[in-house]
Amino acid sequence: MKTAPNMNVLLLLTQKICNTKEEKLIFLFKKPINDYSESDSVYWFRNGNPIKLTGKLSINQRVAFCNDKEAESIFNSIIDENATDINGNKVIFQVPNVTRKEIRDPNLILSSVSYFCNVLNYYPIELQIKENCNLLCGYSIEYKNCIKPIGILPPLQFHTYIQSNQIAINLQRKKCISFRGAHTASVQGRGSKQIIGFVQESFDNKKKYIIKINNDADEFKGECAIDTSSGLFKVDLSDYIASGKLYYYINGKLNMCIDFSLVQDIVLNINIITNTMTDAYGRSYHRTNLSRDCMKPITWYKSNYISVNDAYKALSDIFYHLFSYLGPDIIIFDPYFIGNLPDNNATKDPITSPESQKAFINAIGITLFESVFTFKFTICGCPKRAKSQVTKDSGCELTIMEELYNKYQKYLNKLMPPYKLYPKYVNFFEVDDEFHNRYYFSKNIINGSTSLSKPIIITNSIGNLKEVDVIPVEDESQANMICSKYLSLLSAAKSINEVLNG
Amino acid sequence: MDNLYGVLSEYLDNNTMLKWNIIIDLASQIPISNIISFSIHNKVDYRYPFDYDLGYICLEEGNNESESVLTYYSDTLLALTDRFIDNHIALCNIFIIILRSSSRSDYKSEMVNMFVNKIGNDRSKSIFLTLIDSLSEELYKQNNNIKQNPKNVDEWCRLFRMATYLDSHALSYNSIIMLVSQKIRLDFRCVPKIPPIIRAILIDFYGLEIHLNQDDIKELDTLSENEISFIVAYIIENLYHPEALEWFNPEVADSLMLTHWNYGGKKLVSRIILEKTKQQSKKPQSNLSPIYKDLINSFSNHLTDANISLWFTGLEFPEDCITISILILETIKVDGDEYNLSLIPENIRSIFCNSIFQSLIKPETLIRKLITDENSTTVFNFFTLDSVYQNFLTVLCYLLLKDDSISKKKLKDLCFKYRKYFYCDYDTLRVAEEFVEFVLLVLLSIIQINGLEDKDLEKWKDLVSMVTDTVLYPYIVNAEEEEYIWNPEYELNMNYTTLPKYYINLYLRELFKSSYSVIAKDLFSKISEYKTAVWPYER
Repeated sequence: MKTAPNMNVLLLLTQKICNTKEEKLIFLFKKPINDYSESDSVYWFRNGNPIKLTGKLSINQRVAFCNDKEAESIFNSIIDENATDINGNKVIFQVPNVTRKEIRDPNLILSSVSYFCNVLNYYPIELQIKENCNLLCGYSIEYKNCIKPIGILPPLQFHTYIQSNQIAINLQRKKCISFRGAHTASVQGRGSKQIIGFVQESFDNKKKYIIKINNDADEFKGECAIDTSSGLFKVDLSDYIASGKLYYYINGKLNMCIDFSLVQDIVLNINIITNTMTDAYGRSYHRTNLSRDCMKPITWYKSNYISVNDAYKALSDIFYHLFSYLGPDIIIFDPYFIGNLPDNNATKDPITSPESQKAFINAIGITLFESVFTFKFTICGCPKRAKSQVTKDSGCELTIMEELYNKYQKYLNKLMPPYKLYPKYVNFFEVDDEFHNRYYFSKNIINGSTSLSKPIIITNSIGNLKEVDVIPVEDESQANMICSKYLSLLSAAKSINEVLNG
Repeated sequence: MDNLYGVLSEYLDNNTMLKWNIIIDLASQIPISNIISFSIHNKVDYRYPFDYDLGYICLEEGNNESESVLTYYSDTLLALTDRFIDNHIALCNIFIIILRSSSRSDYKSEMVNMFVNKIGNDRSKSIFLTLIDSLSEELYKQNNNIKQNPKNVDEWCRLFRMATYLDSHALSYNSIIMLVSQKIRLDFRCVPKIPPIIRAILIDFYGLEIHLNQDDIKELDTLSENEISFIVAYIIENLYHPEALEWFNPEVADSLMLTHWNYGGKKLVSRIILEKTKQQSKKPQSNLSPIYKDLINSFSNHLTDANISLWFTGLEFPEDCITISILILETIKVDGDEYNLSLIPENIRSIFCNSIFQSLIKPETLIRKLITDENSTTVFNFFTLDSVYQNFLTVLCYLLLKDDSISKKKLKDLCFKYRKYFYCDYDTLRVAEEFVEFVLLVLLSIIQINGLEDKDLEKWKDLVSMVTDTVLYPYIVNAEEEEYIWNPEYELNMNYTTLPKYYINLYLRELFKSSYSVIAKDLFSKISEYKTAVWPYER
């Protein structure tokens, strides 16, 4: 390669500030690219005019393509001087107080310079949500107002940057060094005695390029000069090694160091998937072993999601995680059970449900499927309170609660044919005593006696959720108090099966 | 056993509904004897048509007395048929008992024949319709994976495949067909009444033949997209069974190519093209050639402006482009397998180039499709980089040089559109790489073309320079990170990223040796300037 790459892409996200020409810096990202330009000029995508990403967040984007020198200069001027020239116009930014940190790999080679935002609650809350970041990165068919060109930021990476408060990232150019253990010199289980590889470089015939290989303990095992006509190297090693360090020297000076581990002896553990299921949001699940050891507190606000569908997908996932943490015998106390189910007018069939109920039931479905129907859900409600939420069909002879239970029964038994979820997997219990808190528990039977554990506080009922907090009770004495009170309610509860059938 | 007539008679009297689970009901009423027993499993399994096993009456076989038992059993059922001859539902239920009777292999068909002879054709047909109606309501009701209405050829073909995994003999569909046909063959007019999954099982498992008569063929133009999709899927399924497609004629081909092109003709042509690359297609019983010939004739006989616009616009890339290229090549065959590219009709040249250009001009659409679809890994589908794809590349290369619709500037703008995706993450960058690979393969396909004039060669040089000035650099730098390029001892198999690189190197090597190497001097010097490794074409 006679011409070394020198191009960069710069992504700038800002928010407009009312009554001022200044823009609030949200994110600055500089990435070196395998491309070359002879020109010193900066190409601003769409002439550097801010492109609106989403009306809801009023975030604007700009993208520039330019060589190393120009990219460095724009990046530094935004961070240090809070302004830069964009196509002849000076744009001023509000940049928060930041801390500069050099990120180095384990061998102390600089990989990026990051600037961490020191201001609390600086980012728009919507960017804290992974799904929104993915949408902004372009990983959606429907959502068109994403960062352009698509894929400039890998979706999970963007969310990680925001979560770790990295407001500006200046990635350093890396050389491509590819290598592998030579097949002919490899022994299964021991590694290889020869490493073959390639360095992509604008070689200068006057310089010496050396590759050195050390083992895990950093003991020298072999070295060779790179063939500058092809970038190829072959290092014969004094011993078999499966992992170690590769050092790249130019004229005796260390240029790069890579920790490596040769891929070998891979035994694939292939589980034959006998069944898959598709959930209410079109996602596929395979059977797995469900178990989760911990549950972190989670807050969910519907309004924080750009896409409503994403919001309920995330809500369903929260319930699903909750269930797999609590399972296999889950007790749910919610005064309103799972809320009212609207009738389908034509058939009196409760086949439609509000989105939050759908998310809840979807999570039950996935959990049952993945656990091969070994989980059980008991939902205890308080008819005295639930009544107020339900409208009675005037022509019906049943009581208001009987009507609701019938709807639950019909609805649940339609969901996962041929499995009739009610009452084998999901059952409802009436509690006479009034209660108003919502808790989810895990039920255990030890030596014949029933106990509740892992109490989780849920701040809202399933009916028509717009926001909810999921808070595991960590204090032991508080947990004991909640468990004992609700265990006594559970013992006195009546199954609605009994209520319906006398 | 003496009791059989009595018990069945009473049961049929008391039941006014169609009872698919009749055997389960009867099991509790008829005592098990040494000659008759029941096989009932109360197991839920949604591969079964009703999610549970309908059960069987098992008749003893293999001893001397067994034939007399079978005769007695069929006599009893025929006597019941006589008794209930005017009771439609009872006849249906008797037929279900016959379906659920298990004995030696040909016993059931003998009984069905006797039953049909007894009740006559009209009653048989009406029982057939009742059973099919009921099945469309009940069958796989609980299985969400199956309960679907295929809407296009691919979905139909998928349903045929799915039928393979079902317990296809759990219901003797062939015996049900025998109510209306002596052979496993149905008139097309009966087909719309049969639910898709039963059609799929009948075709896939029982080899049902569907017959279109002259009147059906005359009405093909009026059929819905759904029914045409079914017919095309049926043809695809039977490409190697000529007897199942005796009715295919030029009239059918015209209807598929002209009236039902987008969801019918196009799918069939592209499938046949794929099949033709397989060894199996050379077998004598293959139906491919006559059908293919009819479709090609339909194409070449109808190259009017209206049809050209139908065939050449809105092409899906690259599948449709390949299909159209092959159709074009077939029309300009001169001698055996030889083509004369100069015979490509003038009126299709620009529209073809422009159509391909249009399908590439929005990289974002292609990228979105790729990154949001878990199942797709490639946009340009180089997997199929065999003679078929090569034909497409050659036709396009020739037309790019001969036709002015894609100017230097247009190509340069297109390259710039893709260049920025080299700056993105893996999937997106891969689309940019594939684009360059595609353009390089098109231009390098000049090695397949003879008889070009000087001005064509000049245009080739110009087009190549548009690529070398824009996207070649990032492509080369990224491509040679791949082991296939840098490692002369590369031993791994080709995959979807190495395959196009293999062909590019192959063509570069041939180009270097060919008479075109003079005009390719700049290309080779640019590659040398940009690369570090010794590339496979140099070794």
